[in-house]
Amino acid sequence: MIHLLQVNPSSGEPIYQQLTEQIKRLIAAGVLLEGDELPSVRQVASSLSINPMTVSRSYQMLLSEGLVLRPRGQKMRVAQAQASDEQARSEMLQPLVDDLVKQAKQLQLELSAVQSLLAQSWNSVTIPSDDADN
Amino acid sequence: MIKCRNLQAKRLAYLNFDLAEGKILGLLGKNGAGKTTLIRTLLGFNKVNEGAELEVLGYQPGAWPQELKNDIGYVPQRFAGFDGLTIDEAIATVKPFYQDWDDAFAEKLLAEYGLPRWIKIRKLSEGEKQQFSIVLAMAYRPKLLILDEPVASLDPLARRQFIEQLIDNHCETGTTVVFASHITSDIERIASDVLLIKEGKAMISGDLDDIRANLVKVNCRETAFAKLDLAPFKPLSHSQTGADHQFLCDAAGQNIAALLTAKGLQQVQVSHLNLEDLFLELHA
Repeated sequence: MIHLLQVNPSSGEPIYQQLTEQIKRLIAAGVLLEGDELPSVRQVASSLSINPMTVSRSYQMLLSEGLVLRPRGQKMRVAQAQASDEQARSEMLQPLVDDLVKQAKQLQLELSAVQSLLAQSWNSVTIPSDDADN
Repeated sequence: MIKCRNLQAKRLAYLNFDLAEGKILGLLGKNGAGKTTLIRTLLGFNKVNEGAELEVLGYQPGAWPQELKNDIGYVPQRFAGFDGLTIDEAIATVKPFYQDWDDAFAEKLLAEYGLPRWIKIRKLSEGEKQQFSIVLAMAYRPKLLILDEPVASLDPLARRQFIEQLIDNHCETGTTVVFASHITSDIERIASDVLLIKEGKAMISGDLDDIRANLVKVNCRETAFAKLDLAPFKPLSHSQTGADHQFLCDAAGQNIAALLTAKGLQQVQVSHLNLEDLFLELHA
């Protein structure tokens, strides 16, 4: 699943939060299932070229929220099996949507213009799927 | 690993900071802010002032016992020396001084950079010299690695390679690193801690994630701004246009917008900044 993770060091959001949010989304969307192993801190740090403490911090947050478990001496595993319902997944997007709307209003765009932008983007943007995982 | 109190040296004025073992410190500052002075002082090249307390690996710089000297690796801003030797000859010269010289690791780094090993070092490009300097400093796996703008002459590919090697090495050996650079996105990636020096003083110092979470930019309107006591929020770099004010402050994990509104500020907007923007704000 490492290839599904990415960080943007220039974003306003700290890297450990970016990672935590991405893993949460992968769990919510059912891409990561109960019992799935998370890659080791070192693997993630190495492959994304980020500080291992940043990865640990993100894993700690997931642990404290009960989204992952670490059985004694084993790798970190995903705790919940059930993909969150659509309502919960939608809520995760809320801050991004609020931000988008704010910027759209600053640009004096109409709702219809934003909707057609969204539709265009929906049809052209693809995300990596988990099939490529080994 | 490093303890620094009241350090004054050339460009530094009462500098304080700590660095725990296993951390990676990103050292930021304008040209001339005192980064190189600090680095050279940590290495024992500069005299430490009366009243300062400076410890590196548990000793005052320069007073290390012989066995500790091999625990420090240093990549200077500009690599000089070994001019008439080839890379292989230079390595053969340096290697005997280091018990822990790791041949396999040195080979791996040289191969990854693809450095031409048969060419005299004076004929190498600046970037190649810098890469070679990195190989020399890392090959004996020092416990403390001090890097003074190690990527300044590197192209983006070589820079990325270096960052990857640094993180891999850090994961393997837990090396503590001091990394001076102007490339804030690199520091953002690899640093656990950050020290931003301005005019010889530490403007920002501490855990990078905490700083990113708590040091926020506030925009607001207030006509009687000067009368408000904002000292508890440690405001930095305040600027003003009419009744519009802008400043950085420490949210300390609290809802800063609500607190400032309660203080009487209007139209409070709080935003989080990346390191680059923080750097620019602090030098505006």
